[in-house]
Amino acid sequence: MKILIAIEYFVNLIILLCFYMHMFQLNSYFFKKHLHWMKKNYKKIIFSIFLVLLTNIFLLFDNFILNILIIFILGFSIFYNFPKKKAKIEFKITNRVKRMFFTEILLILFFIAINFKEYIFIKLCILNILSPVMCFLANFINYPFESMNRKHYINEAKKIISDMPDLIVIGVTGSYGKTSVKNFLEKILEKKYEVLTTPKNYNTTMGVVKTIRENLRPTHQIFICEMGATKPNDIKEICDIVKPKYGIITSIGPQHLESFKSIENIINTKFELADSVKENDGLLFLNYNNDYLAKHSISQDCVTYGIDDDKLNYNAFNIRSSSNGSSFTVFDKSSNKEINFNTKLIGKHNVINIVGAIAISNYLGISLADIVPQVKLLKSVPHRLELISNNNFNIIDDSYNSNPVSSKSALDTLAQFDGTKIIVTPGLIELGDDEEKYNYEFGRYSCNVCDYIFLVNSRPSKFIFDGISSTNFDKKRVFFVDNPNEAVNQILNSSNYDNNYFASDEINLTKTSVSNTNANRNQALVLKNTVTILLENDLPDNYNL
Amino acid sequence: MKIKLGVFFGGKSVEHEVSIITAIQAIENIDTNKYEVVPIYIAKDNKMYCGNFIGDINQYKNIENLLHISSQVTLAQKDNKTVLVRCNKKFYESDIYDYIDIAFPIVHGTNVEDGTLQGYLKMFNIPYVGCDVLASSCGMDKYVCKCILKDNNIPVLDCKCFSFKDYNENLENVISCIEENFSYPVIVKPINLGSSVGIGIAKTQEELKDAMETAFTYSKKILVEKAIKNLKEVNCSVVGDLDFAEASECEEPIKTDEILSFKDKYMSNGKGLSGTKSSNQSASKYVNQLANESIKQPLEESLNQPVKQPMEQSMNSGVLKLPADISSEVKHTIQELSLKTFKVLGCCGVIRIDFIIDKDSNSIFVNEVNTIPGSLSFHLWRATGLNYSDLLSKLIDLSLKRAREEKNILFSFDSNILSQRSLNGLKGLKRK
Repeated sequence: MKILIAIEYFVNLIILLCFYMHMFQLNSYFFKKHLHWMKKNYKKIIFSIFLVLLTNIFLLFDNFILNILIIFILGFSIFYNFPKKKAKIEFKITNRVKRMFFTEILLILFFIAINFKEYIFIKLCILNILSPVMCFLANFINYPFESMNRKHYINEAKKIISDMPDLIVIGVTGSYGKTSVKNFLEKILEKKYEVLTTPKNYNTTMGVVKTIRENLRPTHQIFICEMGATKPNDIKEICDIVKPKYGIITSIGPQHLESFKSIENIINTKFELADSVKENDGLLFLNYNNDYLAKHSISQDCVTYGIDDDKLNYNAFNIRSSSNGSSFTVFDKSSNKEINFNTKLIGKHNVINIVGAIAISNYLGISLADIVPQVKLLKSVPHRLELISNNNFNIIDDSYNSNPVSSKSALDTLAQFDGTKIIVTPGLIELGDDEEKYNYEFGRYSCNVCDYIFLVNSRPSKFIFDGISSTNFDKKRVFFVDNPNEAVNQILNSSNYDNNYFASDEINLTKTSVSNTNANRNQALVLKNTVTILLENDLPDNYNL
Repeated sequence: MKIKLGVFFGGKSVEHEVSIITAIQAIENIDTNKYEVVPIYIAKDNKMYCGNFIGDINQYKNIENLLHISSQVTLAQKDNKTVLVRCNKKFYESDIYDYIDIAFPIVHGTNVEDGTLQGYLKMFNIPYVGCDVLASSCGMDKYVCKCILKDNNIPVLDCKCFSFKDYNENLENVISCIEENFSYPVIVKPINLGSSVGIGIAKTQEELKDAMETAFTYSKKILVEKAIKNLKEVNCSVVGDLDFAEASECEEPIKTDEILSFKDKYMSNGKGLSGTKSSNQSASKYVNQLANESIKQPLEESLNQPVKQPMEQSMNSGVLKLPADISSEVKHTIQELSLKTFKVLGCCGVIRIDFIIDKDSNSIFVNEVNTIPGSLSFHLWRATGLNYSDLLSKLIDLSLKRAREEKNILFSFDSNILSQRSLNGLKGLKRK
């Protein structure tokens, strides 16, 4: 009996350790960010501690029936803590995590080994209760080794870069649009050069270092380096490694405000790239449609780009969007030339990002005429205003980490479509104290555009609902759902389209159950011939409890 | 960091030795500021070898010894690199001999130049210089090549193709078919051999049978076409890819025999060599001879002087007119046809196209396409104003460009269909 209880304690401990480590990883191993997360999710943490404490109190009585109860409670605790849903961002067992687990296990063994025979259950209980902070402890103990390791890798990367004097490095940063610009640039520059980019959204110092060490080959002529920042000095650290000759700042907005504190800090951090470019006698490219960028005074030459502004070096105008994509004209001030472009992408900010990529590519010796066919080939970054079109049924998949500006422009894009317009969203996150304000505004703005609003139950969704309530939008057209799939199912069930056709693999919106359809507990929607659904933001697990 | 360039040469081919010469010649001329060469020798049994002496022509006098002091390797993909793995490593050696960034196949003839090596390299996701698999195999098979060119209105000589089975079982029919379509003399060629190996000319039925017999020892299929009595041969090289290609100056090899045989092409110095069948063996003799002459010096000289030097002579016969003795209109036509041929076959890199001019009717025919020409036709390009080193760099850049373009074509879907679809429909596959 006791052995069973001990095993259960142990299993529970391991599950909790894995869970907290996963969350710690999602919080980028930042103490403050993780603490903040713990504060916000205190209910779950307290509950799991409560379960363990309860069993320990029962254990003191050493009663047979209570012991049975303990086994059940611990069983429930294991079930409760066991990850039920598939994580959106999966737990990656990196070497660092392995080392941290190793330290944790040493600590646990050490703790149990003291007076091994006595208080064994109390010790196990204490370990269970301490599990949320174990990752901090392990991180703290490993810190000297981790930082040495890190330094070693950084130096290695620096050496590789300095061994390639002909390599042109382009730094891409900004609050949003980095990954798009990076991908567009890669596609256009491939016309003439061997290009390496940081893969996916590897935009931290270590991500860049890893890319250099593993993927950079002597055949490469250009390295496009996406630089992300969550706190001041992040960009400078990357620049010191890669020494960018060209830099592009795609936008500045209130993102990651929780760790940056103020918008000034964000601006200064992004302009660390400008300083580095200046040191390397390079050239800076700025999106002048962004007010923060246009107003910031700098002491170096820069090339400006954007849309609908004659004063810019590269200006796009005549922008037209439809379910087939967009077309626009670019005017290049230096050569006084005008040329038309077509792309499958939608949304004005996509056009802005494309113009940015065109500007750099043109400076690197690819003529505008040669860029035209490359722009036609551009593909949307998955889940970032990605248009998935099926006859009269369009889905705009914008489920990747949204922010106030890009979600507003996603709504603007939705507004350009004909027929019934629907938004499915859980709301916006990582906005610090402004979370309520921005979500409220987002709710109000949605009412202007959408015919139906589906809110996915989450922390910020209630602020959106408050925003909607403040307008005279018909509340019967607002629905609460548990996940985006449920919303899409409900829409599909209300329509007379061939449902199976839309249960497509690509968009990962498999119909969960047919019985759900038949029950049809929700009111049907009145849909026009054309339906467009905007999937805005899909939260990672550490926000979704 | 320099770009590691794996130069592959040799292979199970009758032009084995020629390929060694071409490759080592190229290695001597590669821009060492940009590239670091890793020579990879493919022995006649198709095993690949690397080592310190693989790039030294003198060592090829005694190949057995050379293989003994070198390491047998094979390609493999490890992490993001294409590496050469030692097959028989000694306990103190590491598994990996070296890695390569780009592959440069400099091989001639069947089993290597015909797309085999290209396909092998492609499996390792490594950029490789020159034609891709399809263009290489089309260029190698004379019959397929003629068919494609004919379909695109590029003039070729009419021909008939026979298999060994036809020859064995229906010799009468074969001969009557030839005699119906062509008048003597006719030329008999193995279908897929370069450098004129196994080619025979027949003036009578008896000679035809002999020539066919000889040709069948080199290939399972042969080709018969009308021999042009009063002919002039002109070669032209093309460099580029589908986007942009340019044609070189034209050269004119002078025949010493009735047709330009392997002897003329590669052994104008080698005396006392018997017929084509022993050519293979004699080529190795020739390598020996060449090694004795010390390869490097004449090569350097030949780069400085446009006049023929021993090394150049060796690969392109002692008798050669460069530029060819043709009118500018003919030259223009030949260059146009060369570019068209290049495009139609979907070539990439450097190729050489051999033309025949029928002096009696003044008509021009494409005779043969070499997807990896001997000496990589560097003399033609030097005459056009591009030195060997720049030519090689250009070819390497083209290989990178093609690899980039191929990367953008959708070959595989990111999502795994099996992971998401319900597998119920597949249950029928289960054995009951």
